[in-house]
Amino acid sequence: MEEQLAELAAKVAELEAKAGVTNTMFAETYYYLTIPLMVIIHAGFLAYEMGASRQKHVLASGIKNILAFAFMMPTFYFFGWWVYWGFPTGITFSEGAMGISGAGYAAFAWPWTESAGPNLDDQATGVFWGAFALFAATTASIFSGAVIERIQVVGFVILAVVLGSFAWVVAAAWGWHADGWLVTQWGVHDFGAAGLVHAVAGFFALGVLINLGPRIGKYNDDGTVNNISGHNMPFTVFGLMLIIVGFWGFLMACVIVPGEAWSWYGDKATTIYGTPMTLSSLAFNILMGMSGGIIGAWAIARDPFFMMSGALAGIIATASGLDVYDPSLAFVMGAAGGALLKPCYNFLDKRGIDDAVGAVTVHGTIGLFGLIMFGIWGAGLPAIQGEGVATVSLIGQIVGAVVFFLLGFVPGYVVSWILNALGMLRVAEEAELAGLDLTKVPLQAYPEGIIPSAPAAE
Amino acid sequence: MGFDLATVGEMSGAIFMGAGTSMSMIWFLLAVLVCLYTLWSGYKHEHDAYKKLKK
Repeated sequence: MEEQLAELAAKVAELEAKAGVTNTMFAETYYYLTIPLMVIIHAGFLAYEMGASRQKHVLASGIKNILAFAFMMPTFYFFGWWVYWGFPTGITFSEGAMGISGAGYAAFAWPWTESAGPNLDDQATGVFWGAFALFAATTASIFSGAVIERIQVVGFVILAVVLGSFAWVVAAAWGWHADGWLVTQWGVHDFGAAGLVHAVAGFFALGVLINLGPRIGKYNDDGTVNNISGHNMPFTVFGLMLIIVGFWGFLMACVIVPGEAWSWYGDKATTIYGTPMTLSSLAFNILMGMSGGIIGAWAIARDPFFMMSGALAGIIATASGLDVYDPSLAFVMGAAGGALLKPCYNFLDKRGIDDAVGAVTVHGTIGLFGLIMFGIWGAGLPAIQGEGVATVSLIGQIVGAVVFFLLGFVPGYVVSWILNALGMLRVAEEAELAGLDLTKVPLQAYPEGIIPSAPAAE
Repeated sequence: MGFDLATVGEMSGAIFMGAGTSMSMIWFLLAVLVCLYTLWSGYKHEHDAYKKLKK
């Protein structure tokens, strides 16, 4: 009998060990797969802004977007990852609610530590770093489209690095991290990063656009506005759909899987705040929010560009509460986000802000709209796992919105002002008129030309 | 640096080249230099192109 019990215990231990290996491999694979899904976001932004560019600038727009992605990976490795772990409690390394200092957290995030490379004892850091690096690249791509056809490429890369490897990372440290002061003190809840990714990137773009100025020909002397159409609307619309496909990976990466040493629970998936959720929550609410966004935009704008931007706006409007929204409420929130797009875009357009793809509106304005509205719908929910924690409130979400706005706008404005003063922001006027492709790209986008399509309907 | 496959069952920890040595810092600094150099050369290429267009 004792022998059988010992044999059984050995079997149980073996099965437990195997289950542990399976869970660890599942967790690693889960986050690993979010990375190529998020690369699709960049394929989408690339198509989106190349389509939105005129024929004479199309390849230059592509170069800029591709470089944003390429420079984000090393810079996020060099210092972005460290910033996320170092500053949750503010701009000091002080200890937070979890009893660990920023310096303590960040000690393993330097590029020369043993966790920052292939390590048989660490199957988490690399995939988490990869997912965060793709979040960072997403912010840069959001900003990239707004400034097409007149920004210098190196000036743009510097701005993209400031946004992707610093500004939004500070926002994430404050509004996502378990010790983030916005979470622990104000109960900010931004599950899908409506504020800390979208709004930060959108308002960073606004800060840059003010210094960059509009494209030549966008505004007449009497202040009236000309519509500058991109050369390939189908390409832009297709790009938007790709962005939405990629956002499934983005939002999937915002979930903490169970059963690992770093998980919140052994048996429940959670948000990054440790509040329980399921992937099914995302399936319900992303699809409903996205559909609402398309329908809301269609009701106002009637054109496919705003409809697909509406799909994105629908997801962003619901992103803060995708973990807990009633799917019908997600649909209504999405529809509101989609309907707000065109009026908000026109508001900026008429005030001299030449945002070529509507990034400030789609990501900035709608991001803050979604973040603040969650303060109404989600009021009273615990913001983070634990006893006596801060709860979600309208005031807390508004505080978060103000902080995220400033974290985007101020660095965007200040750094672009400096670059402008150094002559590194705006391309030469002759190059803008002749075409950036002709000036500096050793390739031709359409050597056989393009046949113009029929005029647009009224 | 590296590992011996004969003792693969006992292997643990970092396995990348330079782990735990000053080489890691050297690779890091080299990577930073590559980024800075390419930015400088990109800046020069762009401004040379504008000058050429103005002529």
